[in-house]
Amino acid sequence: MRDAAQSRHRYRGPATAAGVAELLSECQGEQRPLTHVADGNQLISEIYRTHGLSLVRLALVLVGDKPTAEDVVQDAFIGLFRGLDRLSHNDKALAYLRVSVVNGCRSVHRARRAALLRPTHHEPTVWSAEAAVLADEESRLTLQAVSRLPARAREVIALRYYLDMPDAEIAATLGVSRGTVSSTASRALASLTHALREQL
Amino acid sequence: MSAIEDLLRKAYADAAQTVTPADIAPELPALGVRAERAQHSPRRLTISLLAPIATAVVVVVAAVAISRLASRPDIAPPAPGPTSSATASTGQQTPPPFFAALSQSGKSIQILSASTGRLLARLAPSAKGQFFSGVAATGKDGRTLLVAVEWGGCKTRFFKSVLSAAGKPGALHPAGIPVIDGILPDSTFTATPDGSAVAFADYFCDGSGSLVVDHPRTGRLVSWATDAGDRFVSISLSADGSAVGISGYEYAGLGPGAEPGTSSTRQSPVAAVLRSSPQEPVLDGQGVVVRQYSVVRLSPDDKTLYVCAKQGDQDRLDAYNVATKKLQRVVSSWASSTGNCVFTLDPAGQYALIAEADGHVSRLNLGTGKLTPLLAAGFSFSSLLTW
Repeated sequence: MRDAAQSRHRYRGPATAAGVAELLSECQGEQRPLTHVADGNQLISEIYRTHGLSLVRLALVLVGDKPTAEDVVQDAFIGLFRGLDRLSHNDKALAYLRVSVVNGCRSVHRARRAALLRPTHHEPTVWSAEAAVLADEESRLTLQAVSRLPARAREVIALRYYLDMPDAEIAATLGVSRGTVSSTASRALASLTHALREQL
Repeated sequence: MSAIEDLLRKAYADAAQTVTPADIAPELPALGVRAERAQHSPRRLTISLLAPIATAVVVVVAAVAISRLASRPDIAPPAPGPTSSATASTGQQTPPPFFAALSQSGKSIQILSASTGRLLARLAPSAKGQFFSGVAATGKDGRTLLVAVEWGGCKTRFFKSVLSAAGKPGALHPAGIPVIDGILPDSTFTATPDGSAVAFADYFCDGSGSLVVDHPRTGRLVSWATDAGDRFVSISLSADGSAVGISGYEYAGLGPGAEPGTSSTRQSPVAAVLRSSPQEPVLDGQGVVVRQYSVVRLSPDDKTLYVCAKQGDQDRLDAYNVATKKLQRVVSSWASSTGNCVFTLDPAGQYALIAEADGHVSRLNLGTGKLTPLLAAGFSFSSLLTW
């Protein structure tokens, strides 16, 4: 019995609408027939309903403002829609979306750097003083200090302390070695400890 | 869990809570239509039309730049700095012609000219899923690179590659250093100039770790067990491998066998010099030169510890006398990068190469403190340089 249950949960078939729907059902603890998802659009909507909020929150902690975070996540879903046929395994959908979101956030930062040369109108970040969204001053200062870290360090720290990902998974998400994750996190924590020494 | 980790978790949770389910669209718009539009949008069309033109412009500009660079003679080798006992002992007056930089992702090692800074070649791991986690220049003219490769799962293997006279790397061959069941955080791998000893900090798959000085030719191996929570930031060997300079964090004042602390306030930054002696089995307050978060390099004669640390918006390089633990002098300072100081010494200990905030590399005369920017900036930011 145990083996049968394990094999069902560890199924690694090609990415099909029904397959991802099965995965979603497992994630949600539901036992629904697999044929209810008719096409990719419907399937992706299902994933959005399940993981959309958490992905927008991940994007928010990386880019700082809600509208941009939503845009990044929508683009990630469009990417998933286009590449659904190429997704090698069912259980890669969420991992794919996370990678897309992290890459999308990286592009936003790159675009913001380029936009320093011309006026920009993106929303103030949640950790900026003018946003006044974060009630807790300590959290605001912490995220402000994080925003001054190099890009990769920000990503490692967010994945580690927001999503609680293990280092091996962070390495796979960012496409870097575990050693890099470990030392990047170590350097980032040292830098944050220095920057936030009055709060510690 | 440390205080800073608690702060981060709370801050992220607070930020995440600013987005509620009601804030986001309950459904995605019809993705097929959006994807189709995105593929055929005027912006993409413009980009697809402009791309060949832009490429042509880039090629022309690059060709002109390369021809100018090629016609420009390399800077003459630097004038020798102050003579030191290290210089005499290694017999090496002219710094090696190349230096190597480990990319932050671990996906490549760049080989660059030490006189112009020009990128000469890149070395890539032999298979997908492998990453470089360390590089050290050894051998005549620093042309034998010892590299550590993170080998899937939780293994690290060591290889060597010999550079041609033009700086092109040869194939990777086993370096004769035993495989370890652990990973090396980058910037914590080093070797003596003659390759007779290597040193690294490894973190084993079970969470434990150690600092190792391995003499592969003689089979002599010295290792220090570390307390959970000890972290190495940099490691450096003397020319004969008998002393190792380290920087990082240790659990200060807890003594051997202590339980890991529960707060980062119990961790203490440290820069120290350890002697390769089995009588010193545990890293706990031994050989501390200065308690400062830093990146260190040990002079070849192990008499001076070069300590680079942030001072405001500058990276500052200090020289400490290892015997007296006194600051001898401030060697130099430069605009700080966002990460740790990135610098390395030449085998004779006369010069350093440093990575500056804007991404270019400069040569620093350790005797005079004079900084000479290298001409080309083909360098992408790295966590480890070796010369």
